[in-house]
Amino acid sequence: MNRLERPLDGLLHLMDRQVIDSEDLLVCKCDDLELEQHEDGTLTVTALLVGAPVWVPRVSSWLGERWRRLGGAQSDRQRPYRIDLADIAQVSQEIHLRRERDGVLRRQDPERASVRRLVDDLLGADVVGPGDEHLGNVLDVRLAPTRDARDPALDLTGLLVGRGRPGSYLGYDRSDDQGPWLVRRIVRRLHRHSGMISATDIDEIDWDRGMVRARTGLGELTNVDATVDPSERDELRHERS
Amino acid sequence: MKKVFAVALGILTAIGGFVDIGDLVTNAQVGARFGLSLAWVVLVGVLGICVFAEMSGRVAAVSGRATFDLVRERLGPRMGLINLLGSMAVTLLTFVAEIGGVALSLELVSSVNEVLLVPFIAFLVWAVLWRARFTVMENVLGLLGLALIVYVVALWKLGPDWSHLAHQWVTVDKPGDETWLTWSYYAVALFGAALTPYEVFFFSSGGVEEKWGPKDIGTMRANVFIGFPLGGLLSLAIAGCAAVVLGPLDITVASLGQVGLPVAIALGKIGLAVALVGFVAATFGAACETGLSVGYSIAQYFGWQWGKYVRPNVAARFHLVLVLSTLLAVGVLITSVDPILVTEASVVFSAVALPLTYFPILVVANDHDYMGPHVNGRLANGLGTFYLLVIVIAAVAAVPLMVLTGMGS
Repeated sequence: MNRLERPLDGLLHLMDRQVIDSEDLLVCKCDDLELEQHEDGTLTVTALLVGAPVWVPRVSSWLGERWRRLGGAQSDRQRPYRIDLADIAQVSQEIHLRRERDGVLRRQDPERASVRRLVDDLLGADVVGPGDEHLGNVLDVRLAPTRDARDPALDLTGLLVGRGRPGSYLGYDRSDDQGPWLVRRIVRRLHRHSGMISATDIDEIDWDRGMVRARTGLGELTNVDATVDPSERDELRHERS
Repeated sequence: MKKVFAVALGILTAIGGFVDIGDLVTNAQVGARFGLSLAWVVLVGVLGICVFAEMSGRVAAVSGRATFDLVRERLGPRMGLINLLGSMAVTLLTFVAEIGGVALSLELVSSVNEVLLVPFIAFLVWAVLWRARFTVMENVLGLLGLALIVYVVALWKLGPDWSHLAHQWVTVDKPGDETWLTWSYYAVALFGAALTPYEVFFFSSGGVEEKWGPKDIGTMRANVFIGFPLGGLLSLAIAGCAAVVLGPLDITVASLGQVGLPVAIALGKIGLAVALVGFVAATFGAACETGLSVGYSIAQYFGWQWGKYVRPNVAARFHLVLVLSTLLAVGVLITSVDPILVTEASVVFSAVALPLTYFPILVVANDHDYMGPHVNGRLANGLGTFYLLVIVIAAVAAVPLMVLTGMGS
């Protein structure tokens, strides 16, 4: 099944996944996702980002700063490699490219840096609701493919918000039959306050302070696969096995 | 017929591959000091490695993803990196111990000092990792490792008081001059020797190397559930021999020669020769497995091409890691550090590092997204949860026990 044809979660389904070329050779991991902010405030994922400039800060911001200082003279020190979404054939448990790996990674073009953000900048950001109520932190981003097939991109349709760390979900929030029982109970208990905010309810994003202002409170967290017809999902599972 | 042969071969290599320097040394030490009063721990450990290897083998067969792919995907880059550093520290320690083990085995044969042998052995290990085909490497060394069955023969030939051994086993009859604290320390060490993390890195990555698919799950299970327990039987035989021969003489095992002593007494020169073939094959095989595991894990974390199923120039970074880790092992061993001591440390730290990789595998083995209809059933999850608790307890207790008992002295 191709996840790019239906809604998916950025951190759970794309980030840290293996990228594989058209000859089945391994290329790299997807270290981060490129976000483009449009004038109306909507956000779109346009590319996968790869390499130390995005990987090291995700390990630790302290290390990220040290990484930058080690090569201050290099103009491309903080420009990650980029894989355009148009180069991706399909996303399953891995990310499959349309082409061979030689020369596939190119540095991000610096000209449009002003409109470019990272999904990782959003992850962990404080989410503040109406009346300055603290709702939690961004745990993941819900994405959906745009309709335009010539210029593929993923629209940000919502934020998953909770009182944990990004990634601490292990996928348990989104399916209620995933075992083992003990682990599921503990993880779900830790995340009992989690919910979602639709992209249309985002008032403003303060990138410098790492804060998201929402117009409403948290809505119920939905399973990304719930948008897929269950019979179709089973079919896909069989297909894969 | 070919299928039967493949299953049989897999089982035989699993038996030979289960025992490494950690199992040889720890089982002999425990046998000499505690008799068979720790035999339950071996059984718990063997069932544990079966549960763990079956899950990771199944994940590898269904999703084509090996251990450190999953660690990073499920724990993220930060926890994943901490995990990688911890697991690689332990695996490199084991790698050093295995190469040292080959050197000690060959020293017994040649009387050449082990430190002089180390560079040659390390070169041979690297040459095998660079050149030999994956299946050839696994099968030849696994089959030669079966020579350790000589311990079962030796135990039978020694004709011990079986009812006494059985009594010691069943009632956990610890010798009076040992404390429960040291008993617990060796319990953790034995557990770590049976459930060494590299076994799972190697098993799951090997599944990807051999291009397992969902239809190979049956073969994989046969290897795990027949091969590993029979390997555990070899461990028990080594402990039994040590208990019968070394125990009454109050010998504490501090060299590989002492591990071989019971076989020499029971079966003479021929028996010892066979045992030495087993030592060399088991430790050399484990050196290859641990060396590869280091390369596999690092490459999987960073997403580099890895594996012996592609030509070395396609997986250049992976092979560079293999070269560097082999050089590192040589560097450590030519300081003339005692490989037995390195082994003792490696099995204890194995127990410490185990939860790091066990937990993500348990989670992914339950994830429909990866596993489709092949997710864990009730039995796998029942045992999986039980072992999660056991592994966490062993990991937490390991270092305090090591300090309190002064490494079991």
